[in-house]
Amino acid sequence: MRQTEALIVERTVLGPGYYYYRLLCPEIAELAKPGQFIEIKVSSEGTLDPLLSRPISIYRIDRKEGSLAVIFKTVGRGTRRIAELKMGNQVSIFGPVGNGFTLPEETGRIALIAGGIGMPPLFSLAEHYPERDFTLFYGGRSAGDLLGLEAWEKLGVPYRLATDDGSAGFHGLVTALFEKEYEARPFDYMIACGPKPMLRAVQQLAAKYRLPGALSLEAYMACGVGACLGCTCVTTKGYKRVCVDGPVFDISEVAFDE
Amino acid sequence: MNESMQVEIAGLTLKNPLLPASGTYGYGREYLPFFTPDLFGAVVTKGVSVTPWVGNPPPRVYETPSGMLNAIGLQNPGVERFIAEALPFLEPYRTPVIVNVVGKTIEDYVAVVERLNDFPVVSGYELNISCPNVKEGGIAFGTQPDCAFQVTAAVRKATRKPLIVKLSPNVTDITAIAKAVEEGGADAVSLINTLLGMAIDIRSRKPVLGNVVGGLSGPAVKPVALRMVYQVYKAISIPIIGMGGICSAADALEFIMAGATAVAIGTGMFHDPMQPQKILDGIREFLKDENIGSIAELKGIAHD
Ligand SMILES: Cc1cc2nc3c(=O)[nH]c(=O)nc-3n(C[C@H](O)[C@H](O)[C@H](O)COP(=O)(O)OP(=O)(O)OC[C@H]3O[C@@H](n4cnc5c(N)ncnc54)[C@H](O)[C@@H]3O)c2cc1C
Ligand SMILES: Cc1cc2nc3c(=O)[nH]c(=O)nc-3n(C[C@H](O)[C@H](O)[C@H](O)COP(=O)(O)O)c2cc1C
Ligand code: FES
Repeated sequence: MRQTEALIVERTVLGPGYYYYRLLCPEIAELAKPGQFIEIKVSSEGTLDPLLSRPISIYRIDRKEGSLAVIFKTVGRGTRRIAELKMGNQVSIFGPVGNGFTLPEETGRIALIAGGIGMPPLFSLAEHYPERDFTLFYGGRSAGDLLGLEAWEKLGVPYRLATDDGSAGFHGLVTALFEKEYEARPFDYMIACGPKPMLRAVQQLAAKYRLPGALSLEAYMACGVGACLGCTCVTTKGYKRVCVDGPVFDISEVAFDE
Repeated sequence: MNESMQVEIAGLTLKNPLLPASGTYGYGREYLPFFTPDLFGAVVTKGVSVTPWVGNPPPRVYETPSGMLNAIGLQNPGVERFIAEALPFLEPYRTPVIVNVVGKTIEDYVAVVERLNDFPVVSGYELNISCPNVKEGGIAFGTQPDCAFQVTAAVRKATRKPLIVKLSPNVTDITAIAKAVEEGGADAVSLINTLLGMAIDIRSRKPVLGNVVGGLSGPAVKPVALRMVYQVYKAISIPIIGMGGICSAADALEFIMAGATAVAIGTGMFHDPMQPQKILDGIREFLKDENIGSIAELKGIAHD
């Protein structure tokens, strides 16, 4: 984990409220693994508000350039502050934080299940393991919420889309889409990142089909380094810190409340 | 290194007046990527209880304007695992270690202190008699002068090591509690712990925190904390460790001028993990600029 002033070398608006940033931060890029995240300071220089840094997943790792890319959605004051930053600006970040994904030797056919802004860490994973057999199931509210599809195409990972309003792909839940595909041709491993209700449904599917896998969780965070115990989630082995014990957990380990 | 930063508190000589606030720094390991425990004048650990405490259900933290709420619920592995895991980690560092102690009964506090007394790496204790997070926890001790006196006196009998008592701001008159713990034999007081607060999620129509209520900390509480340090300084003669929203050297200096001998940073470290270093640099610079030989000269200077 390192702290640095990262230089913004690319800023792209992907759609209303969606941003792509590429950050020059060689020390962090050197250490980064798929599934980890960075903490971005969101107060402007010399001010204290918003007080806490915001966790954002690593979307792409480019060790040669020494850069990391992120994709985020503006949902509140913190993310809106990041979106105000321009190319050439610097932003204070630290990371990489978290355990990241660890794939077992043999994973067979892997289903990646992304809900909304849960897609970025799954991309870094797929890019890191070009030899594995991934299929992406990507769900969102509507077509405009499904981002970076060309990049998935370039990677050669097949994808299936689902939207709540039917404006792209399957009209309905991404987990229903997965089930349809599974019945036709089974998967051996599941990895999901997205909103809690989706993760819970994915966990139920994994239990139903007896599939191993992993879930990447979110939580409100304060320190982002494992010190404050503020970001805990409930697991079968008690409370665990999402920031450093996660954000990636075994699919059967997470205990969702009702 | 620099004598001008040295302070004495509860019989301990600290190389500088900055400490981490209990519960924000774990047992020191997590901040190693940014600095070692030796950065601080002393380390103050996360609270330690006789048996493990699981803590509160999530969500446990939530940002509010210029501050945050927390309801961690004093999750900790208990004194035996603290001895097995945290003490060996802290031992090689030179900075004194102050163990924050929590309990549900007076006997709990005494048991933790008695268990730790024989470890030379433990330089002293800070009694958390004030945490508002645990329903059956310290709240009774920290809000009534007689209870505060009793727990302090009982622990005083159990140890000759420096004893600091941490005060709750959720009281009508903090000076009455401060006087009670001084009388009970405390060598110093620390203040403030967090201010009880809450937040509601208007979409779900429910309190945000799993525990419903939580403690407010950060810049939002600083004026309240500063006022309390100022009042307590006038009421007692033992030293004060001041905290509550300290994020800069100027904040730290305000607390010292209000009467604090040393200060602690908690939530400010969450804002920026390099903040402790920046605060120390800033204090040194201030002393140099103002031609002040020792930080101790500034203690309580706002009172004259
Ligand atoms: C490990 C991790 C990785 C993440 N990766 C990404 C990412 O790649 N791209 C992205 O767009 N977002 C990501 N997030 C979510 C992002 O951190 C939050 O959207 C952001 O912190 C909101 O800050 P804000 O000040 O804009 O919103 P706030 O004003 O704080 O909140 C606005 C809304 O967002 C919700 N929210 C706030 N913080 C969080 C949080 N930590 N987790 C879930 N919901 C939250 C609140 O409930 C509220 O409804 C990630 C979160 C975590 C924990
Ligand atoms: C996440 C968090 C956990 C805390 N845990 C403890 C604790 O275990 N024991 C304690 O005495 N105080 C605890 N506190 C209170 C702090 O030590 C400090 O008194 C308070 O936060 C005010 O200082 P600050 O504004 O600099 O954070 C905690 C505060 C926070 C934010
Ligand atoms: S955010 Fe502090 S422990 Fe995870």
